[in-house]
Formats: sequence, structure tokens, C-alpha cells
Amino acid sequence: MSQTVQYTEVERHAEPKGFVNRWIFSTDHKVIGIQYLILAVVAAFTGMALSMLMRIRLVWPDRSYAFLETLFPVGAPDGVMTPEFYLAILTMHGTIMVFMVLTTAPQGGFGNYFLPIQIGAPDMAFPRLNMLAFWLTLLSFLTLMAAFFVQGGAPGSGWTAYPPLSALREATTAGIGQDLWLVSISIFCIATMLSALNFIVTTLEMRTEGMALMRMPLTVWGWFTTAVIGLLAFGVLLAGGILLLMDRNLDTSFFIPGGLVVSDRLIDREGGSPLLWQHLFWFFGHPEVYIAILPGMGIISHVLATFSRKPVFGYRAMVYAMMAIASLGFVVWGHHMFVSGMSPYSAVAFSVLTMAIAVPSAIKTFNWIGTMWGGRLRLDSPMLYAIGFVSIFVAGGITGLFLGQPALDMYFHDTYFVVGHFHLIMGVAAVLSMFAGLTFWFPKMFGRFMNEPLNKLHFWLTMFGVYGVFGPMHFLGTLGHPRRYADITGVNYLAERGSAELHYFITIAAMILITAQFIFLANLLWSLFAGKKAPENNPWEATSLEWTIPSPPPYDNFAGRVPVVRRGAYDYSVPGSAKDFLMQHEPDEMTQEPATRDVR
Amino acid sequence: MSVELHPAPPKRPLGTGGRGDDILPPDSQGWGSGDSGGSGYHAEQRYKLAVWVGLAGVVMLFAAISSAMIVRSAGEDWLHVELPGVLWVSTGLLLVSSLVFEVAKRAAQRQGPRATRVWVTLTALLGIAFVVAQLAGWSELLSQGVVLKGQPSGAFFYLLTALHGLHVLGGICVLTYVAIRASLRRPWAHAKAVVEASALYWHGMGALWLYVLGLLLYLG
Repeated sequence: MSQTVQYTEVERHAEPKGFVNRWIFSTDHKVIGIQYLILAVVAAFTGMALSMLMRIRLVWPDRSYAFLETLFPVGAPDGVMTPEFYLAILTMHGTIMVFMVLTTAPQGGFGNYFLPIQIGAPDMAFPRLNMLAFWLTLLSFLTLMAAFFVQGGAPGSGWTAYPPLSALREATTAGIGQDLWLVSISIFCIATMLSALNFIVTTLEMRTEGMALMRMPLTVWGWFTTAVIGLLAFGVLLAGGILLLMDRNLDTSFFIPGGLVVSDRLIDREGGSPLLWQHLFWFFGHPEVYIAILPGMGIISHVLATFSRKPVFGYRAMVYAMMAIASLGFVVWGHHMFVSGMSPYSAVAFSVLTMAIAVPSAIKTFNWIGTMWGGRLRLDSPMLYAIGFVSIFVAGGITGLFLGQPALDMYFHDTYFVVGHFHLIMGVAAVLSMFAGLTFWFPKMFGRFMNEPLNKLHFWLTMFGVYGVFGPMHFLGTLGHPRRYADITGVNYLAERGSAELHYFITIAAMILITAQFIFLANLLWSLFAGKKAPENNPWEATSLEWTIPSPPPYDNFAGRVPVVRRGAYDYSVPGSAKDFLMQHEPDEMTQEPATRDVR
Repeated sequence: MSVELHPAPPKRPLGTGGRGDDILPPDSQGWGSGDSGGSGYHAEQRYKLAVWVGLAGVVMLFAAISSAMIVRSAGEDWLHVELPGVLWVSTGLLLVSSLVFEVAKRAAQRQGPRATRVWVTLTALLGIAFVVAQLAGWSELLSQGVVLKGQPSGAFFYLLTALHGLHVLGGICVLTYVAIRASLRRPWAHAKAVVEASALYWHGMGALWLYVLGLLLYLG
């Protein structure tokens, strides 16, 4: 092996000229990644605002707010939110968060920005397709938001859009807004499938010399596995969306059963099956959980190794665990339907398969702890977020074991226990991984650090906030408190057991949590322009290829000189090495100390 | 740490990467697959992989609709629809178009743009004829009173044929691009790679149609 760093010289791409080509209709994967991230931030704050409205409606149902009357004269006449409006904002909160934040930011944002660089490519395999996928995603978001402003307002059938409620134009909470919801989701499906195609081809075909599959950073494995899931799952949701749109607009009856009466009027359809939608939806819906979390798992593995100064414990096991999670994710959708009247034999099968996911999940958790164990931990903010992720992942994962058992799920189904569970495992864990990713890569993306004390303040407030909000929801669930109720006076029978106080506590914790996110946003914006400058290419002393290039990276990433890869992505604290990390393109001999010192 | 630059090997052109450029000559090596240490890479390979991956997504879409059709066909309101005879004509047209596309592919490899243009145009015309025949099938069914409302088997017929037809139209757009490209005096390597990959897609649409037809015959 040569003792020098080797590069492959390739032709350079000329940087596009003009603001529009460079920053708006850009085919540069880094710009597209940032566009996805901006979209996700806007969507996240919109979703958070809606969640705050929900919490306010729950604890102060009669209070009037003038701005609500201005914004939503139908949903909040006299500034007081109606129960239907509560359902609408509940639906939009879930939809925005699941699709526009959890699906876009970890994959479209970080994946787009860093996958090509980490595998040593100048761009994605199909840059124009990449741009198209982003603009379709934006169109989908705008279509979704338009639902607020059409006659009848936003739909109220939940992010799961169960028919017959969602299928009937006659239903008060499923007007034109529901059509816009369906069109938006259908566009989103197409965008995500195009993006997934690009990710898969890029990973398989664009790796630089020496970047074998088992040398790829776990981040890349996360994005790749997620792309495979997305490609296979979103096609099914698209099919469901088309069928539901036909039911609503072309008088078909795929999901609408016969004999249905709405507002004393017999609906002129027959033969459809509402359960059919549930099967189609959850065949997509459960893998969607992994679409949200798998990129995060990759980021967390990457960050934990870097800040523990140790190789990832059980790299191959981590890769196989991701594959196992992705595969099993396609055969457990029935656990969302235990109360649908399914055969108990089917329920047992789905339950066993669901429990089986605990195995690869536990492998990952143990390996994360194993990575940190005995390491020289650097508790910078990315590391804090990563440790927070592991904490939340365990908390949210354990509650999943309850819900995966049909007998227990009969009780917990549609209670706040489910709300607490999925927010922790799917929402908060994924968002923490985004914080870890953003604080970790910020110096690379913008050449500056984020403010560290503010990040740490944000971290601790966030951890208090999320446990304060979603922890008590598990207690509410064990009390039998149903979810999706706009008015908790409807469950007065639970009041003597403390449900009202818990709701107040949750709302206060939510306010703290949201305030903390504004601190992060302010820090982000301030750091973009005034943050401490990152001193060199590799401030974290990390190993993967993005740290070999300047910050921010040039237009075609490697400026025509792509490093040849010599090793895996996690060579930290290699015995005999002069420094405690070896970058992926560095040969052994360059960094080894003289043999005499090894002998001694 | 001293880092020496290895004596630079000759510059290797990048893959086209969907940028629409034509810097990739037919046998050049561009980006590596990593595992084999930067072994031969062709735009063709990337496009073909993209088509395979894309077809997997399309298969999931049709599989989902098929499963819905199977579930729905158990309903009491399910009535059998007699498929229009013109569907056999359209099937023939699509199968012949696949054969013609194979000829186009060989022309692209051996003869160059002019011959390719002829065969690709013929393939596209056969594709258009297929779509027209499908529409004639719709017309025939509509004249028999098969509509969307109250006739779930009819609804599935229209949906499946429409979705398949849209995918065929997408293929026709690509063929049109190739035909135009073949008419221009532009480097041929990129268009040739597109021909190879789109042939795969076109055959995939043929196979998909045979599946849809079988499903409609069996359940419809």
C-alpha cells in the first residue's frame, strides 16, 4: 500500500452563475439539502404552533383569542376554538410533523447534503431529479397549508385519514380540505419515491474508489436503508390516496360501506371496506416510523463514535440491525389494528413479529452504550443530543412493548399512552438526532460553530420539556384517558384521579419546550452570521470524507481531487497510531509512530 | 502531518449525473462502485439501475391496488366485467413495440443515431397506438354502461388501465427525447445510454400490462 494519500483526479463541474441558478433552482445537492432543512424548520414551527393551540384548547377551552378569530373565522368564531377546529389542527399537526418534518429533514436535508460527500461523489446520481423531488415536496407542503384557507377548513380526520369520515364529502370535518390533504400527500409520495431512487442509485453507483459498502459511515447506511423503505412504502400510500380521492370525487366505493347514514341521510354507496384503507395506510405507516428514525440512528452512531473517540461497537451488527428493522417494519402493520376485529391468530402473528423488532433495536442500543463505554467522552452539544436520543429511544421503545401485545393494546388503544409512546420514539428521538446532526455538521456547512452554552441550555430545557410533556401522557393513558377529545370535561370521571392536573402540567411543560426551540432557532440564525469561525477542515477530529474538504464545501465537493478510501469510517484510537483518529483516506503508515516506540 | 499528492493519474470524466451533459464517451471510466476499487462505470449502468429501482416502486403501487382489488372482489356488489376485445389488439401492439425496441437498441449499439431514430420512432408510434387502443377499450366499456359508480370491478379496470397508460406515456416522452436527440448533431453516448435503460423500462411496462391483463381477466 502506498504511504501517501491518494486522490483520483476528475473533471470539475463549473459552478452555476446567478442567484436563481445557484440558490433557488439549484441542482447542487448541498443547496437542495439546505432547502429541505429550511422547509422542515418552517414546517416544524408551524406544527409546534398548532400543538400549542391544542394544549391551550384542552386546558382553557373557553378562552378567546382575537388573533385566532382573524386567522380562522370559522374554526374560532369569537376567538374560541371549536371542537371541529381542534380536530383540524390535530390532523394538520400530525401530518405536518410526520411528512414535512420527520420525513424531509433527516433524509432530504442531511442525507442530501452529506451522503454524496461521505461516499466521495461530486453530487447525487441525478441532480435534476433531486431538484424536482424538492420542488414537488414544497408544492405538497403548500397544498397542505392551503387546506386551512378553503371552505370547510382543514380536514379533521386525523393524520391517518380513516374512512368513512375522510371519504365522505358530507362529513363536516372532511370538506375540500380533505381533498387538498390527499392531493398533497399523493404529491409527497411521488417526490419521496423520486428522492429514494436517487439515494439508492447514488449509494450503489457513485462511491469513490475504496469506499466498499462495509466502509461506509453508518449515516450512509441509514439514508440508504431509509431510501429503500421509502421507495417500497410510499407507493402503497400513493395507491391508497388515489383510491380515496376516487371515493371522494368519482363516486366509487372502495372504502365506503353500504347503509351508512350521515346527518339522517343514507349515503348512496355500498360494498366498500374502511378496513382496506387501514391495511393500505399502515402498510406504509409503520415503515414510515423507520423512515423517520433510521437516518437518526445513523447520525447518532456517527456522533457517538466521534465524541467517544472509539470505533462504533459492532459496526456490522449495526448495519444488519438496520436491515432487520427495515425488513421487519414491513410485516408488523397489523399491530396498529388490534382493535379492528382482526382474527386473534393474526393478532398473535403481528404481535410476535412486532416483538421481534425489539431484538435489532436492542442490538443498536447496546452497541451505542458499548461505543461510549470506556471512551474518552467529549461532552460537546452534538454528543449531548446523541445521548439524549439514546435515552428517549429506550423510553419510547419500552412503551412500545406494551402496545405490541394485543391484550394490553385493547386497553391502551386510542388513549394518551399511545400519544406519549409515538411522540417519544418517532418524534422526539428523530428530532434529537437532527439537533445532533445540525450541531455536529454546522461548522462544515457554514464554517462557523453554533453557540455552545446556548446549545447546552437548549438541550437541558428540551429534555425536561419532552419528558414533562410525554411522560405524564403515559399516566393519562393508564387511567384510560382517550385521545382526540377536544374537551377534557368529557372525561370528568378521571378528574378525581388527577387527569386535569396532569393536563395543566403537560401544557406548562409544552410551553417551556417550545420556548427552548426558539432559543435554538435564535442561536442558529445568530451563529450563521456571527458564530465562532471553525478553525480548520476538521474541528471535531472526525474520520469521514466530509472533514477532508473546506468548510463550507466547494461547489463540486472535492474540487476535482477525490480521495481514495483506505479504511472504514470509525478508526478512532487505533493502537500504535500517533493520533487518536485516522481519516478514511489516510494509509496506516502515514500516522504510525516509529516502530521503536511500538516495541517499547 | 505531511500529505503528498500521489502522481496524478489521467483525468477521468465524471458520469453525466443527469446534468444532461455529454462528457462520457462510450467506454470511459468515471465514478467507481467502491467495492471493486473504482472499476468500470458507465452511465448506462446508472440509468439501468435507476430503472430497476423505479420499477420496484411502480410494482409496489400496482401490488397495493391489486391487493385492494382482491379484497374488494369479495364484496356482494362485485360484478364481472366482460373485457373489450380491443384489449387483445393493444396487447399485441405493446408486445410488438417491445420487439421493435430491441431492434432500436441494437441499432444504437451498432449503427448509430440515424438508424436508431427510425426504430425508436416506430416504437413510440406503437406505444401511442397502444394508448389509443386502450382508450377505445374504455369507450367500448362505457357504451356498455360500465361506469365508476356502483361497479367496483369497472372502477378497478379504469384505474389500472389509466395508471398503466400514464406510465406508458412517460416512456413515450423518453422515446421522443431520444428521437430528437438522435436528430441533433450532439454526442451520442448519453442518448445511447438512455436507449439501453429505457428499453428496460419499456419491457417492464409490457410485463406489467400482461400482469394487469391477467388480473382483470381473473378478477374483473
